[in-house]
Amino acid sequence: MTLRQIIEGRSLVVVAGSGGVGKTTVSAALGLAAAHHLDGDVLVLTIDPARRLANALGIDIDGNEAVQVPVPGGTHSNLYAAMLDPGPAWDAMVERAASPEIAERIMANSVYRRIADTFVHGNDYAALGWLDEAIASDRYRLIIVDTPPSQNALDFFDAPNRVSEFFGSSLLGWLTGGDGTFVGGAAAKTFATVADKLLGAEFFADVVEFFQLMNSVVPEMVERTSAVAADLAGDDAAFVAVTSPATDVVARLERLADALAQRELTFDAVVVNGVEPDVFWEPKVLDVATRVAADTKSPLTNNQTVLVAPGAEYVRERCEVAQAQRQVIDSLPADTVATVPRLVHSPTDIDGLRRLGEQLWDEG
Amino acid sequence: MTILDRRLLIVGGKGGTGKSSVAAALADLAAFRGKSTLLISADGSPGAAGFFGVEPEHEAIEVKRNLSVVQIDSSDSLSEFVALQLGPLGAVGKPVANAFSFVAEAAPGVSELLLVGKYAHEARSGDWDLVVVDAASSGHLLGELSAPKNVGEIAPVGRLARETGWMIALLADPELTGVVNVTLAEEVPVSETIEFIDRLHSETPAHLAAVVVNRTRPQLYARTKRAQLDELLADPPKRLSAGSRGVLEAVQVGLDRADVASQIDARLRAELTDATPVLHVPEFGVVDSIPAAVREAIADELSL
Repeated sequence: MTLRQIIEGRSLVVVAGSGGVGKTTVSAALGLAAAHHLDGDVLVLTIDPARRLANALGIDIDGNEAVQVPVPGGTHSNLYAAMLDPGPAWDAMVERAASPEIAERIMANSVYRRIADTFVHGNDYAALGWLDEAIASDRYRLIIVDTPPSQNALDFFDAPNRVSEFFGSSLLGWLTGGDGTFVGGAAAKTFATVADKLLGAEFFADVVEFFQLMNSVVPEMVERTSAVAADLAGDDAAFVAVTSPATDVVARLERLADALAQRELTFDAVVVNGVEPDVFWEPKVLDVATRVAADTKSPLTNNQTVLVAPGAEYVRERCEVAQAQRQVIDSLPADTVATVPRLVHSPTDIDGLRRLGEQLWDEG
Repeated sequence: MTILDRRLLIVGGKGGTGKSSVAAALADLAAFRGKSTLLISADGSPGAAGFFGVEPEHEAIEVKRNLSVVQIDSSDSLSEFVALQLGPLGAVGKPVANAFSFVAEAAPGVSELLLVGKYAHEARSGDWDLVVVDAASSGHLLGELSAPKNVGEIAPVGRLARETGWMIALLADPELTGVVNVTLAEEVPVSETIEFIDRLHSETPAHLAAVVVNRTRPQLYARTKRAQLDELLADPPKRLSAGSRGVLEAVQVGLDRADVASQIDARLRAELTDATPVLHVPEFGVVDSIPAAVREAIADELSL
């Protein structure tokens, strides 16, 4: 199947992969292609602190509003882009789930104020909360989610469970009583002693208050985000992995594929970004480059051979790399594999992204 | 003083830059030079330590003469810290430690502080001449390096806060601690490196020891030769075979890549102070061991 066939039948695309492989570039390129070919608005959501998507698309994104991307020459459907700002996204979730009075107290809590930066998977969770609203708005024919770089893309789907475990753990339940005093037996008292000694009493009191306040809003927040996570892992979502052809990066991808398989999930497609361009894949090119570099049976004149030899040695080396890349690509755990050549200038503007999108759209 | 003449080298960089192989190479080089070296994988995966053919554990494993590897994460550091501070907790120890790790995860900077604390502790233990850390990617690393100061400010009492003073002193001493940023001669990684260095100086006590530009494209030609080659490529001989035409086309790709890389490299150099070493590691073809190749390249760059 081509990426077009995979995406045409879905309403969500989840783009995953390790850091530095070009997830954001691929997401934006697929968004442009989808807006060009599909009926109905397309949204690309990125959770990338480097703000690269906005730069590449030439837009100014502030806060969590989706912004229409001005595409020179226009597109068949409208393309929107949004960049997650975790702080306001958390606030919005809290405001939806809590009474105004509780919401105000939560937002004044010093632990909460910093949570989006420090909380484990806080960004993943905030993204799910944001997506919940975007999906519910029914505005978009297709939403492409550029997931945060992480060791493991499954973290994204697990975020509601983790949040639920975090706040709902029975340990914390019995450690923090309803009125802020500690209940429980010896373990709870020891805990309080430990925490007091290590962190200081005042800070610890804020931690306790934070947990108590959050306990009242977490169930509803978890319910909403769990539904979104289920959508993202469902039949209506396509799972596209992006990788570089480097063996260690591909090894991480394979571990991810194994972890997905345990949940009966598979990649619908893998995009290999940065493979050597076609010319390095030609056996004839390797053959001639080897001969020119070694100056044996070179098809060029003597002078030309001497001049070209250092370059030919580079070409020979990259041809070998290309062969190694082919082996890696052939072993990838997906039926649909699209490759993106390593370009001298990686695309940093809309035209470049659009060309890349068009090329990817019919690959596979 | 070379970058290896410190107690603690923290190697960070954007994902995909080859940060782990550079950390492995630096540790290997130091060990080879006779320094008793500990390589710490602190990025949530075997990372750099994985290059030495062992699955790193939470206890240091000696992988060759002068070189040991260990993997750390914040929850182990936390249990260790709690045990160290309070002594054995007996039967209630496990649930207390678990509950505490929940709180530590929510408490700003605490898990980062514990990671920094762990590698800073190894660096001052006297057990090693040099500790090399394969650290988290740039954003997280800044969080870790600023944690001692931040935690000291939010939770100014408490034992954890009392631990922050010596950590800040160690991190802030450029003779003892240095941060190595690994980048590529490409637009986005170099922009991120420049941003990282600004934030390193404004948000953390640590100092930059070096920038490693990984996978650089060699300049294949001196200027006069290059002019001759450009002429040939602009007007290639007629009646060449497909293979020969392909080689010329591919040589052009190599030249373009090298040109772009040297432009970006110049941009990076212009952003750095003259005293900051910039080490170039070439892009390797198919080699047996990337860290060994990187080690040789870095040794050359350091004239060791």
